[in-house]
Amino acid sequence: MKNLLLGIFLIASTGLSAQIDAISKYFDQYMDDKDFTVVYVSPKMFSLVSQLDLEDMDEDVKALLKGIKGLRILTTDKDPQKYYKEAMDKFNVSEYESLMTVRNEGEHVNFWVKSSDDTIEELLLLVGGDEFVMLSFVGNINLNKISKLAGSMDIKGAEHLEKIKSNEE
Amino acid sequence: MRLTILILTVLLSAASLSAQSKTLDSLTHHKNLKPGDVHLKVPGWMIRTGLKMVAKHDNQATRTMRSLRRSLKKAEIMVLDNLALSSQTMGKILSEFKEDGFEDYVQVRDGEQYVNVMVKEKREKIRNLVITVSDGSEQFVAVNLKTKISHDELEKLINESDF
Repeated sequence: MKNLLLGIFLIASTGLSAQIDAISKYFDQYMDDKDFTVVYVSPKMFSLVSQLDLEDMDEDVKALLKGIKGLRILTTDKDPQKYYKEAMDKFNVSEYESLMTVRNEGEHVNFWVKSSDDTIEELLLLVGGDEFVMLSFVGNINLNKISKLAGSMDIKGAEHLEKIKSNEE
Repeated sequence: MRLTILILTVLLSAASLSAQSKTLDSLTHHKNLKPGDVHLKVPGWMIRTGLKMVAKHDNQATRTMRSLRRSLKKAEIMVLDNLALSSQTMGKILSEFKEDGFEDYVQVRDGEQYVNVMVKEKREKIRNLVITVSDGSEQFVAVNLKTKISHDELEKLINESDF
């Protein structure tokens, strides 16, 4: 019985890491492509910032940063629909739970989450339209607070996180 | 005579301190320095003296610098002109830093520009900070700071400064 439980746990964790690996591989594929804007913030950086008592930092943002293990953003405005379709094909989105889908004047915005119990372990955002955006947060993510982070980050593509807030309202 | 010995001792200790670091030196394996390129090693005592002089003027920037005075141990700056580093070479350089115990903190690529921040930490103190900025074919800049900045000092530095 113990072995069975261990087996299930191992398979489940392998599935999660395989998907994260697929995202990082996709990200790495375009890391050196000059048509893309690429941002990677490591778990170490999040850990460091969350430990600092910074005057300007909102308490909610600080609490959120403590849980985040990494952030990857990939954006391009060259042939966005092509990359959107490619990403949709490459990622096994069936492993995710769809959080929100917005279709507006040729723009497709998709939020997916991967959760275990009550904790959201990964947030994946794909945008196709005038620009292609892939944003991946890994860690313990509080969806109520993530829109606040969008306001504190001056990063292209992160503004789509605001949509989570407006959706909840 | 005493003064000569003192000057020689300071110079020799500064030279030996500079010789210990091999981090940015490894960049010259990928490209030989040409006229116009800069590879500057500033020993800690020189940084402290400089900051001490600047700190006489009391304003926000000098207060920030004053707090950094004891934490900066050494600075190394490399500016290479007309250098188009291939992504493979850049990747190789970054992996050499990682082999040396550095960890990626932030990577940003926007068009031709590529910025990388790597840090080596020990006992909750930032011991080394390396920032590389590649501007495609124009210029490559690398800054290596040997520090002893604690999280408290970093916190103070950010809170007191404008960034």
